[in-house]
This record gives sequence, structure tokens and C-alpha cells, in this order.
Amino acid sequence: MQMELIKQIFDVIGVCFIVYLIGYSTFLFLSVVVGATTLYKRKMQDRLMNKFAENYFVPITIVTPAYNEEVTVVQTVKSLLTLDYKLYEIIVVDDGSKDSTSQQLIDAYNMHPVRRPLHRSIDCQPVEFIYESHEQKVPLTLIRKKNGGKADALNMGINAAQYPYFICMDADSVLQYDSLKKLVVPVLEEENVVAVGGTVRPSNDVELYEGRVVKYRLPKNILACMQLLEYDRSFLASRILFDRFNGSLIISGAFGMFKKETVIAAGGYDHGTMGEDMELVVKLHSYCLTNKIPYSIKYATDAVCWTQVPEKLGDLKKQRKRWHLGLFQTMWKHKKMMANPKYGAVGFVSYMYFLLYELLSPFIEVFGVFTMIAAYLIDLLNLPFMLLFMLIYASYNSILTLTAFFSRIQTIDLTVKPSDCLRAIMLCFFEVTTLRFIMAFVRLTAFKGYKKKKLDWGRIERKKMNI
Amino acid sequence: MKIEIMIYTYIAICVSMILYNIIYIFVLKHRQRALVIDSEKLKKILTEQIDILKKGEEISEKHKKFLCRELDKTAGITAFDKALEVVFDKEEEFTEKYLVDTFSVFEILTHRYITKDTLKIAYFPYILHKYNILKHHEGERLTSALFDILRSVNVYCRENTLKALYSMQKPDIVGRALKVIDTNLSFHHPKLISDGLMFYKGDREELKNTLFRYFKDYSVQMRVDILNYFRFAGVRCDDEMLELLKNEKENNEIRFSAIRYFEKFPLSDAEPVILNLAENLENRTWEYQAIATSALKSYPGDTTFRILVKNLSSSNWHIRQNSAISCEKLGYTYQDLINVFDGNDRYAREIIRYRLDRRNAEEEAVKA
Repeated sequence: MQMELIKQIFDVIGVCFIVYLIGYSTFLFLSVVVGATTLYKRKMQDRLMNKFAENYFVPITIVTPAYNEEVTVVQTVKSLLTLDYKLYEIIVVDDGSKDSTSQQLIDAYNMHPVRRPLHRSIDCQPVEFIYESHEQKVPLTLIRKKNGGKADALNMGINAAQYPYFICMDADSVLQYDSLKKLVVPVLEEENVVAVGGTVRPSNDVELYEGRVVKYRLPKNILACMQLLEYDRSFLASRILFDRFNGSLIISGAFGMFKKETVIAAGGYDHGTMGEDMELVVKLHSYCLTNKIPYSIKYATDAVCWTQVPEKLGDLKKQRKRWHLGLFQTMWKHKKMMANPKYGAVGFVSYMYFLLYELLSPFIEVFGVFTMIAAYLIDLLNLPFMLLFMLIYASYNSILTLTAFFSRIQTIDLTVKPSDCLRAIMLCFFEVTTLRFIMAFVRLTAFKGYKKKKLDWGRIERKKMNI
Repeated sequence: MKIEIMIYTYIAICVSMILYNIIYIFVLKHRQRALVIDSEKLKKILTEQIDILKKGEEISEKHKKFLCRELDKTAGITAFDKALEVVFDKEEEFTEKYLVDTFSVFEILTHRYITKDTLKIAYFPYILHKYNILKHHEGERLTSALFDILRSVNVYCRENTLKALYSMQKPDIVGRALKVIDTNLSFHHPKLISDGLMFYKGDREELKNTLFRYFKDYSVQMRVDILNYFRFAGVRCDDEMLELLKNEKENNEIRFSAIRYFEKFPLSDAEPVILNLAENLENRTWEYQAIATSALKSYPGDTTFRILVKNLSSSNWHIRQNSAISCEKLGYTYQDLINVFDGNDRYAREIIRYRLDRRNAEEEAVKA
């Protein structure tokens, strides 16, 4: 009798898992097909000159928050100064770094101190000093402020921004030379665009010169290489799919453009969350939908930002824990959106996807592993069938990952060596079967000691980039 | 049994994804190879036709039929573009003659392209614009077909067609084209109008007169875009702008554009109006005062100085900032503004000190 009950419980769990997996597989399938088709269409558009002339410039402020970035900050600004765009300014916000971040910039660009009053539209920590340089191609401003976290630094940048659109980007990233031109395209194409997300690609072992890819190869480091596959899958697939129904909930903090006026009206970046990038996008949805303001949040697939991904498991764990906590904080803060008809597809599809397949997925996956072990121990598991099922599921995911990888490579005109293709094929299976489960366990433990990390910048080891 | 079906479905999906990937790779590779081969073939044919023209002979009907057939296909028109680019560089004069002689082909194709999907439609006016094919054209049939494309929901169709129409260098056609864009319900970014008009290479004075003739028929946004174009392109229209500036019943955005115009092109008749707008808010929005204060940098004088000093103490950030910028640009010194520095208004002191410090730093940088 008791055994019968246990068997029934396992049956119910099994059915739930299958429904969950079917849902996820269907989503992946749809997103990769839609993503690849969109990229193909974009390529056709380029080929058939469905693009704007080179001389349309929407004024943009680039805000680069920096904390202890003495190794990379000068290079980052150098790369920003080589962008193929006419109308922009650069603002670096040093969030009270303990190293020589500010001094490195002051020395490298011969900056001079100014007593510049700021129009404080959004609350942020006080300014310690401001330096400017007008000797460069575009105005360059350095604002050193009291430490307050990344969101606070970004809010300071918004206050100082002179132009109607601003880009937030990380100090360890490099924008591709044509990224600004590509990023403004959705603004020219459509009315009421309040935010545009760019594509973030791992730059480990990629050689860049003045924002152009000189030599492209997959990262030598296995962990970085697997992240590249993961980035391609998520950027190409899910973001393009969500873009179709104006349902994007994430614009990467490494590279995104926002309409300053709308961001200020919505209250700017939230100091209290670790995932300030996601929180801002969700907040924009909420603000515009609540106030019945027509808006759209777009994704520019060909606007590329190159960024370093962690090469050490410890760094990756730190990063993913931070992301997961940010996700939780954002979802919790905007819980009213959950399956709420007032928020349309954003509430029903996007929110529910992030809840079930992002926030809760580590719990569900780890629970699934333990259930399988338990079922095996009490002889309720058909092991050969289970292994076959898992193998097929992993192969399916690997193939979708590879589809995303190859679509991306072809459509952004990068050439990959056959040996790199082989590595991608081998590692995608490993990424799906191993890294994904390791990350599930890591994300599961993300909440441990999270109060201490509230304003933490989540440091990872930086290397000088090949630019 | 149900689980087995699901597994088989998974396998089928996996296989279809692999096939999708492989087909995708091959289609792209094939297209690239085919484009090179086709454009080489067309280059040869075009060179032969240029040689015929050089001998003083005419393009044959057979060639025109061939061209019509080729350019009707996407692969053909892209290969033609690639080939013509090379031929045009080598033999500009005769290539232009070739395009004039084969104009009837493009006329036929315009009507055919209208029925294709928007991605392909947009490419056709791009070719017309790129090679100035419409430059010597007079007929109305083709123009009205292009106007039909302007009504498209696709922004690239509209954009490329506008450029093709600009290349005709006929002001009236531009005026009418803008009217079509204006009445189209699809969004066309203001920048695409004001900056896009720069592509017009004909007589800008004539264009100005025509656009002002149509002016009342346009929406406010279109009028603002046109006025902005005049300002960017340096097309002088002092009288018309002055009338707009003085007319208090005129739309705010249009008057803002007029103020900005007189900032770029100072006019003594506009000065009292701008001084008044900068000094008195009356029933107007704060933007008038902010924009007029900015324009004051082009009108040096005692009254300007008085208004700028007053506006440095405005409670509005933008007015204060614009006033400081104007003071900086007019070359006022710390000594000139001693009353502000000695005064009680901290905000005024801070903003003017920043602008003057900044000017000094810039001057030093130039000297260095």
C-alpha cells in the first residue's frame, strides 16, 4: 500500500518533469528557429540595402561605471574614442574605487578638474570631484563619487548626461567600431523606442584593433568557451523571440541604450538590487504599461559589445550567484506583473518564463536529480530508458546550442577555424550536461549571505584586452 | 507509449535542426558564389554595351529585354549592382549614357517591383538613387509608381524611395513626396527628413521656395523637420522665419525652430523678439525662455548682458545653464560678472564659474 503511494508520487513528479521539459524544449526550439530566421532576414536586409545611410546620428551619452578598474579603464576609453560615430560623449563614473582608476584616466587623457554643477534628476551619492577633457574627438568626463554601487554610479552618469539617449556599458568591455550606428537603428525605425539592447560576445582570446575584430578564435579556456556557447544561445535565441512581442525583460548591463527622459521618469536604476540592468527594463515595462505610455524595447542583433567572461570557476560562480540574486530581487519587486492581464504578454509570457525557467530552474533541476537517485534506490527507475531519455534531451539541447552558435557566426561575418568548430561541437554537449548542472547548484546557493553583498560590484579577475 | 512518441518527436526536431543548419550554410555559400559569377558575367556584358555606345551605336532591344529579365530577379539585380559599380568607376560618362538609353527598362521594372515583398522593393529605389538613374527623367508614370512605394509600411522602402526622388532634383516632386510621407500613417523619424533632405543636390533656393509653397499643407512635425533642414543646410530664409517667429499663434515647436535658426543666422529684425522671449516668460512655456537665452549668444549687447545675468538666477536649470553658455560664448570675463560671483545665488555662481573655467581650460589646451 505504502509502496503504491510512493510509486504514485513518483509518477506525478515524473509527469510534472516531462511537462516542464517539454515546455522548455518547445521554448528553446521556437526561440532558436525565430532567432536564426531573424538573423537570416537581417542579413538579407543588409544585402538588399534595407538600411539607413551613414549620416543619421542620434546624440548619445556613453556612461561607463567603474570600480577598481585601473587595469582596463584607459583601454576602454581608448576604444570608445575610436567609435565610428559623430555625436556622442563619454562619462566615466568612478564609484569610489580603492585603486588608481581615476588617476589612470586623468594622466592618460590630460584631464583637468572642473567645478561642474549637475542637474540631479535622480538621487545618488555625492560627487567628490569631476575632471574633463576637451582635447579628444568627443567630450570626456570623469566623475568620482562616494561609493554607492553600480546602480548609483549609473544614476550619476544619467544626471550628468547631456544627450537624450544614454548607453550603459561595463568598464571591462569594448564596443565594436560600428556598434553605436547599429544600436540607434531601432530608434530610427520605430516610434516610441525607450530602450535598445545590444549583443554581448565574449572577447577572451579575440584580437581587436580600434574596435574591429582582427583575429577571431574561440577562447582557449574551456570555461570561457562554454560561456560563449551559452551567450550565443541566450542572446540569439531568447532575446530575439521576446523582442517579437516587445517582451524583453533583460538588456545586458554590459551594453544597452536607454531614453534618458523615460528612465528618469521611471526613477532610474534601483540601488537596492544586484541585477540593476534587468530591474530597469522590468521597471520600464511596468512604468509604461501602468501609465499607458506607448513604448517598445528593442534588441539590435548586430550591435556588438565584446566583454571578458570569467575564466576561473570561482569567478563564474560569483558572477552567476550575483545574477541569480538580481533576478530574484527583480522578480520579487515586480511580482504584481506575474500573470497579470494588465501587463499583457510581458506578464503572461516573459515574467512566467523567467520565473519557471530561470529563477526556479536550479531548484527544479536539482530536485529532479535527487528524485532520480531516490527512484533508482527504491527500484522505481527504468535506468536504461532514463539514460536514453537524458541523452536525447542533452543531444537536443546541444544541437540547438550549435544552431545558435553557427547562425551567429555566419550572420556577423566571422570566420571560425575548423578546429574551433570541432571544439564548439564537443564542448556544447559538455556545457549542457555538466556546466549547466554545476551552475544550477551554484545558483541554488546564491541566497547564502546575500545581505552582505548588496552593494558589492561582484569583482572578477581582469586581464588587459587585445585591443 | 506516449513517452516513446515524445522521444521520437525530440529526435525528429533534432534532425530537422541539423538539416536547417546545413541547408542554411549551403544556401548562403551558394548565394555568395553565384553572386560573384553572375556579376562577372554582367560586367562583361555591360562592358560590351559600353563599347557599343562608344562606337556611336544604340543599345539593342534584345539587350534591354535581357536586362529586364535579369533585373527582375533578386540575384540578377544584386549582381547588376556589383557589376555596374565597377563599370561606373572606369567609364562614368558612357555608363551614364547607358543608363539613360536603358531607362525604359527601369520604368517597366518599377511597376514590377511594386508587387514584390518589401525587402526587395526597397532595393530597387536604392539602385535608382545610387546611379542617379532618374536624373534626366521627366515622365509622371514612374514618379507616381514611386509615390506608391512611399506609402509602404516599410521604412526602408520609404527612405530609399525618398532618396531616389531627391536625385531627380525637382523641387516640386520633393514637395509632393514629403506630403505623401506626411499623410502616411507609418512612423518616419524626423531625422530621416531633416538630415535626409541633405541628399537633395539640386538648387536649394528653388527647393526652399517650393517647400514654403506647400508649407501650410504639412503637419507641424513635417514643418519643423523642413525648418530644421534649412538651418542645418544653411538655406537662408530670413523673411519666412521672421514671420513664423513673430506669429504668436504659431505652433511652439515651429517657433522654437525659428529661434534656433536666428541663433545660427543672426538678424537685427529678429533681435527684439528674441530678447523679449528670453526676458519675459508671460504665458509661454519655459522652453521659449531657455531656447531664446541660448540664441542670445549671437546677439551681443548691453540688453543681452542684462538678460543673461538675470537668467543666471532663474529657478529653471535649463535656462540657467543656457544663460551661462551664452555668457561663455560671448566672451564675458570674471570681472564682467563680478556681481554674480559676489551675489547670494550659489546656483548662478556655480554654473557660470564652471563655464568660464571650462573656456579657459579649452583655450589653454588649444595653446598647448
